[in-house]
Amino acid sequence: MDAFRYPARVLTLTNLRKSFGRHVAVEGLSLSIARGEVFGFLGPNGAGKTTSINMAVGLLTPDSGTVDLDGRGPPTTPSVRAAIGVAPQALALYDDLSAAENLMFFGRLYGLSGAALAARARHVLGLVGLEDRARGRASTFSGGMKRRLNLAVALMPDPPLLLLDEPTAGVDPQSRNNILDLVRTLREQGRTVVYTTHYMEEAQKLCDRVAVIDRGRLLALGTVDELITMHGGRSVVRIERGTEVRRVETADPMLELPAALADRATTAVHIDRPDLESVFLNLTGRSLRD
Amino acid sequence: MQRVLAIAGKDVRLLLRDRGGLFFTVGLPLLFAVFFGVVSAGFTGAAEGIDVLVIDEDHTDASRAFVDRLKEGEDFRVYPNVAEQPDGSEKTLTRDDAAALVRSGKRSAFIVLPAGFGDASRRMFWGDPMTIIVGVDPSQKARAGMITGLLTARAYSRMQDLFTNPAIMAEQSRRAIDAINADKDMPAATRAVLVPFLTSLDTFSKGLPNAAHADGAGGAAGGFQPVKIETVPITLKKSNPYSLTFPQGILWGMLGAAAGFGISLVAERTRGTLMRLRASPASPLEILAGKGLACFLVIVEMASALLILARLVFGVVPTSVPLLALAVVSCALCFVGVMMLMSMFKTEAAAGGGGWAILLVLAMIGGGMIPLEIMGGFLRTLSTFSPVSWAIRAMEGGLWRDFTLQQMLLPCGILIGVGIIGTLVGAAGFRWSAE
Repeated sequence: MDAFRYPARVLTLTNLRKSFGRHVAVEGLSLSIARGEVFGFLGPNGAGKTTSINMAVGLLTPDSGTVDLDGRGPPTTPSVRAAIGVAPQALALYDDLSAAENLMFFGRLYGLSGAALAARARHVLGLVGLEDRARGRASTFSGGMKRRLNLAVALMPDPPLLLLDEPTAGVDPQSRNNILDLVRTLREQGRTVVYTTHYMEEAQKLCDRVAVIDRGRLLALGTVDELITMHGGRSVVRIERGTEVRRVETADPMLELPAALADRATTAVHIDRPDLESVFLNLTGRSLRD
Repeated sequence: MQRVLAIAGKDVRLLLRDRGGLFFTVGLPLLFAVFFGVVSAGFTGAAEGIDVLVIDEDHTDASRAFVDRLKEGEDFRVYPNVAEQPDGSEKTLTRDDAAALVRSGKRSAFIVLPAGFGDASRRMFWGDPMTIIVGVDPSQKARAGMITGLLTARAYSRMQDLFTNPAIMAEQSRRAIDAINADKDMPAATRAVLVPFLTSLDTFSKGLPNAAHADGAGGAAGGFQPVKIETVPITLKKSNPYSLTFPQGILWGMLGAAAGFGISLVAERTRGTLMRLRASPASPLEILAGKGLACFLVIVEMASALLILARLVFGVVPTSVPLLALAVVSCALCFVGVMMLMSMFKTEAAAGGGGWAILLVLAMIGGGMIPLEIMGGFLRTLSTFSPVSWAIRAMEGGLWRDFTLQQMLLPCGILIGVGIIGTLVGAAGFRWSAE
């Protein structure tokens, strides 16, 4: 679990602690996010993800510990915050403003103005596929369009660091595909993305590294493969003989294949490899969370 | 500053697109001002008596008795013609002082009992009747008529006393006969009627003709009037009823703006946009300043638009445009503070319901619904605790009360003070997080 192996750190959280009354939301959280990576931030409901993100963007002040953004200090100062684009999970848009007006308003907050502001708004609308709906009011948009506009607002200042909180929650496959493609494009452009999601397959496909957090503590951190290796458990080979199914847990399923295939009674062989969801459930348990 | 302007511009744009909010901020005030302006010409006035300042220039037993008579009942609230000076001494008020008080709205009317009132009161049926001078706003026709009627009633009441007291009547008759005999200018015909009449007054009184309102001061047979009321028009600069109703209407617009922006600030939090604003480079101070500036601008624009409309369409001419502008700016600052206080509510529903309930109470006790000048004593005292009353007073000061800059300082100072305190308390108590 080498949290500091990336030399160019964009965001560094060091020993963060935050409590609300007697409830400790985050305890001893330390991690570092490198420039240009897509960083997955996973955890069950109430794990402390949002509290951590709010501390990372300066919305909450930690009880102890530090947040450093690109070596410029904590994001409690406006100039430091200007380097962060945030797409909150709740759609934070003005329904009675058009898509372009929403973008231009938030762009002004980041110091954009005049022709540059308008050009940036047009460009961002194109990125999220809303250029044809620039003048449409947000209230008339579908859920997927609103989600894309929500992401577009975060892109307006062209920030080096993006915090995307559940950016694909409740959207149709087309919008999800657009958003995932956009995140990949951002990575290719050298942007750093912190990506919070409950969709494990998204995180597995998209993220360079993943942190799993629960009950305010960091449980695991690493690449997807590292996490699967360390916490995913063993693969399961299911060998079917007619109606009979035999399950074999093994670290290397390939070793089980020759014998299974040599048996003429075998009708099918399935290999269930551990994935990020296995990692998540192994680390956070299978009990339901509120 | 760009961020503050951006937030203010966004909020103004959102208001313009919110038909409900726009109606409460501009439409309702206009309807209020026009509707009540139309009906207030028939305004019937005092629930607990009309405030009148009485100047006794005659200083006779008769004039003092008449003042005492005015104080009887609840028709008038009589104020003496003295004012305490800063050094503790008392100054006797002149007619000009009284006119200024009426003009400024501090008294509804003034009544002068001029020199000669007492002599005239001893004359019956001949010569000039006793004269009373009334200073009142002629645009308040109903009020002027009511005062005239009440004074006439008081004069008749005095006559009734004379006719029911044989001793006083005998004395009056004797004096009248002496005066008639001494008056060489009296027409012979009149003398021929009055002298026999007065000497047989006991008989005459049983069949007194009902001719009290005959015209003319000569007092010929055929009628007399016990009192002549001269009306002095005190042109309150509220030369039409809309001068009174437009400040009230504008006040409702201010309440609507304060409520609307207060609720919108709560909505920013509950709908998540506040989180996004806070995650931007905008500081908390800039966010609140942007909201406050939007509220301020809308109030100033709304008030300016309505006042221009009042001038162009309804003929309301302000006595002082600069002082009126000062009043509007002070009011706007005050209601920005009120808006900040409203934003302390946790939810939009609470801000909309609870906030409006508080504003309505402030409006009710502050003269937003019922004019301050017809409020009872307790309510009038209570109204000093409502910024609404100071807002109306300040606007009226610049619109028709003809306030001086010095007179404007008190209401405007209070309004600005409320604005500052409200802003500070509201900002300190504002919930930045929805949790």
